[in-house]
Parts: sequence; C-alpha cells; structure tokens
Amino acid sequence: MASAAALERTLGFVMARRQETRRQVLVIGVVLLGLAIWAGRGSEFNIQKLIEGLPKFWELLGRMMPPDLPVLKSLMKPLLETLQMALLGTTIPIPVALLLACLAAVNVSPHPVVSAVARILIASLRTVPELVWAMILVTAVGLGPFPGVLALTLHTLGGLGKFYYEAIEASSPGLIEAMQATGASRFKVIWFGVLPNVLPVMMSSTLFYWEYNNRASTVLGLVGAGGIGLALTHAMSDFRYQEAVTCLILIVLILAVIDRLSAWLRSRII
Amino acid sequence: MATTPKPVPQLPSTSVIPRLSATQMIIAGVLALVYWKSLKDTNVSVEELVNGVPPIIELLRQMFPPDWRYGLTLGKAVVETLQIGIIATILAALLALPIAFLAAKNVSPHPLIYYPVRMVLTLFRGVSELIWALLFVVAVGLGPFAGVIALVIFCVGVIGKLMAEAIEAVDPGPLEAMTAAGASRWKVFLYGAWPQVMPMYLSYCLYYWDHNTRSAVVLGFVGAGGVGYTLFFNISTYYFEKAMMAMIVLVVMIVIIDRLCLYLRSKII
Repeated sequence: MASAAALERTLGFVMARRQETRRQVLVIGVVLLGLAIWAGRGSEFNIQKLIEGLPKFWELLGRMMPPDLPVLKSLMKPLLETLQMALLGTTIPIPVALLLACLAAVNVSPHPVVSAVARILIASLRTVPELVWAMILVTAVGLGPFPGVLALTLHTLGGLGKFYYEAIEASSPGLIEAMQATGASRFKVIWFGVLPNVLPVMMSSTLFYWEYNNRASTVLGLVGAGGIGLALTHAMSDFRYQEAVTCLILIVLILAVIDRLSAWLRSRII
Repeated sequence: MATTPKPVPQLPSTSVIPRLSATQMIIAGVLALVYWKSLKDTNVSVEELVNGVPPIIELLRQMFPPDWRYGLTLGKAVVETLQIGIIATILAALLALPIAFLAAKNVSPHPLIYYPVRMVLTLFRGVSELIWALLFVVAVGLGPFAGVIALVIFCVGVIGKLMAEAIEAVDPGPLEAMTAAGASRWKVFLYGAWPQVMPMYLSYCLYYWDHNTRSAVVLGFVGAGGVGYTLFFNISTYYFEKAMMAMIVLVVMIVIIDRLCLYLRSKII
C-alpha cells in the first residue's frame, strides 16, 4: 500500500509540474503576442500590403530575367574589390586586436585601469555597425574602397578584441604562474605561454570574422564604400534589373564559396 | 646503401620567429602577393591613412558637441527600430520552426521536400538582409515594413538551418523508447524531441533578436525607417551634431539590448 501512496504522490507532483509549465507557457505566449501586436502596428506591418506588393515583386523578378551575362566581365573588378576589402579588413585588425586584448584581459593586463579602458574601447568599436562606420568614413574621406576597409577594420577590431581577450582570460592560470615562477618577462609569458594556448580559438574567431566581413563587404557599397554592393546599388537605382540580378547571383555564389573555404580552413587548422 | 642516420632530436626553436618549411615559404610568398595586390587595389596605404586623418578629425570636430536637445525627439525613431526588431524576430522564430522540421533529414517527410526546403533556406540567408530590403522596397514601398520582411526572410534562412541541424543531432534513444511505449507521434515530439532542442531554439531566437535590432538600424539607410534613417538623413544633410546624437542614442540602445539578451539567456538556459 505504501508504494501506491508513493505513486499517488509522484503523480500529484507530475500533474502540478505540468500545470505550472502550462501556466508559464500561457503567460509567455500572451506577453509575446502583445509585443508582436504592438511592434507590428509600429512597424506598419500589413499582410494586405504584402499581398498587393507581391505582383510587383514578381514583376521585378520578371524584369530581372534573364541575367545580364555580358556585364559579368565588368563586375569582376568590383567583386575582387569586395574580397580584398574583406581580407584587409580582417587582417589589419589582428595585431592591434591582439595588443588590445592583452591589455584588456585581466590575467595578463598590466593594470586594472588599463584593462577597463581597453574594454570600453573594444566594446564601443564593436557596438557601432560596420555600415555606420562606413557611412561616416565615406563622408570624411570620400567614396571608394579605402573607407570600406577602414570601416571593416574598426568593427572587426572590436569583435576580434573581445574574442581574443575572452580566450586569453579562459586560458589556464597554472601555466602563467609556472612561467612567471621561472622568471619569464611579461612578453615571454604572453608569447610562449598564453598565445600558443589560445591560438586555435583565435584562429577560429578570426576565420569567423573573415566570413562575416565578406558578407559585410558585399553591402558596404550601399553607402558608397566600393565593391560589388556599389555596382548593385547603381544597377538598382538605374533600373538595370538584369545587371542587378547578375550582381546578386555573384554575391550568393562568392559567399557560398567563402563559406566552404572557411569550413575547409577551419578543419585544417583546428 | 648506407643506413639512414638516426635523426638527432632537436629542441624546439626558442626564437620568437618560427622557422618555415619550403611549402610554408611558398604559401607565405603567395599570401604576400595577394596582400600587396589588395593593398594596391583598395588604395590602402600609410600615405592615404595619414591624408585621411585630418578630414576625419574635421568631421569629428563638427560632430561635437552633440545636439543633446535633439536626442529627446529621437524616442519615436528608437521605438520604431525596436519594433522592427521585435516583430521580425517573433515572425521569423514562428516560421523557422516548421520549416526546420521539413529541412531536418531525420524527420523530414520526404527527400523531395527536404532538398528544395534546404535550397530555399540557403537562398534566404545567401544575401544580406540589406539586399532583401532593397528588393522589397520596390515591392511594398519605403518604410519599416520592407525592413521587417527583409529581416524575416534572412532570419528564417539562418534559424531554419541552425534548428534543422539541432533536430538532426537529437538523440534518437528517448524517441524510440517513447514510440515503443505507445506514445503518439505528437507526444513523442513534445516530450522526447522538443526538450532536447528547445534550449538551442531559445538561444538562437535571443541571439537573432539582438542581431535584428542592430540590422534594423542599418536597414534605415535604405529607407526602412527608425533611428538608422535619422542618422542617415542627418549625415547626408550635414547636420553632424544631430548625427552624433543619433549615434550616441543608437549605441546606448544596442548596449541595452545586448545586456538584456545576456540576462534573458542566463534566466532561460
């Protein structure tokens, strides 16, 4: 009989848990629904408008067909420029981000104040989207790929800096202590102790940013910072839709290739 | 034939600069060429950088002091940006889930559904949300709605793919056990599979909420409203103090969302 009572208790517990879960799901659902209605009204969400717009979208797609293939040749230069911007925008920040990360990571930083300042710098660089950087830099130094590279560099500096200092902080403290005990200088502790330890994580996050920057550099042209995005914007605003779709296809293809390449490199390195 | 001499064990190099093998040298050479060409084509040089400093400082000078009073009028734009991010994330999260089930190899009803769905997802996330916005502005006109559609499409592509992978990684053991015990398909899903993938689902949704809010800012540049449009408008009309204010508001907003996401993540998962 004792086991029956125990079963009863367990069942009661399970039922109570289930009711509790149901109540939670209901509350969260209602809150989300309320948020959705509020946000939908504010953002002029309108299914009818979408349905009415669809024929226009189809018409746009129709006018995009067939893709303008002869223009491919002239798109090679902007495409290359896009890849180059991404490459430089990922590589240039690496040494600076490393330095900033060493200053920011609490376990190797020379002073807590230095660490706090470096962290604020990293966070503010990262917070501003690269397109905002690009727009400001284009206003300052003029159109072209140069402000694009600078914009990617600034944003990536923040992103990589954060990844790097988190990796450094996660490295084992025993290693650093052991090296300090042998009398190694701060530089040697970092170069021979910390860096080899965090290198795989750093490479992985750098690859991630390379991928990210390739994606970003395809749209930098929208604010005038060169690359294939610029060709796309020009084609769209001049209603040369067949040329625009050629740009789109190129973008999709090149991003797929970069995706594969990055996955391959990742499997090779790590 | 002489026997090959035993290799002398060598201590690892203690030099700060590592020694390179022939292949590594070739790779390094090719890379150097690629970088040289890239630097040349994109006009990146120390000289250009030095020349670029004065105009950047000049711009910064014009941006200060920020027009603090203008900040008070930005409330509506900020709310609009937040709304775009919220509605896009909720819709994408709802749409992505069933699509993910169609795109997961182990639960997809048929390969004829699985492959096309996968392809559509790849296309959705293949181009940036900004380009989707550019296309939808043509269809539904300028305004936040075009931005919402663009974000939903991109996010369905990403969350759909990530969730499909999560579903494929579900441990089949509990599901088989439940099926053997006579549970219906729906119950197997609800009590067997869902608890395994829910934490990832919530985590992705939160991450993309953060991402969508940032993107909503940038979408303003192509006419999708919000604080991004305010920034774009002020920069292109040379109201730099106002632009600076918009930037400060934007950074504060992004930081708050970022923190909120971290907090929610720690609460939920």
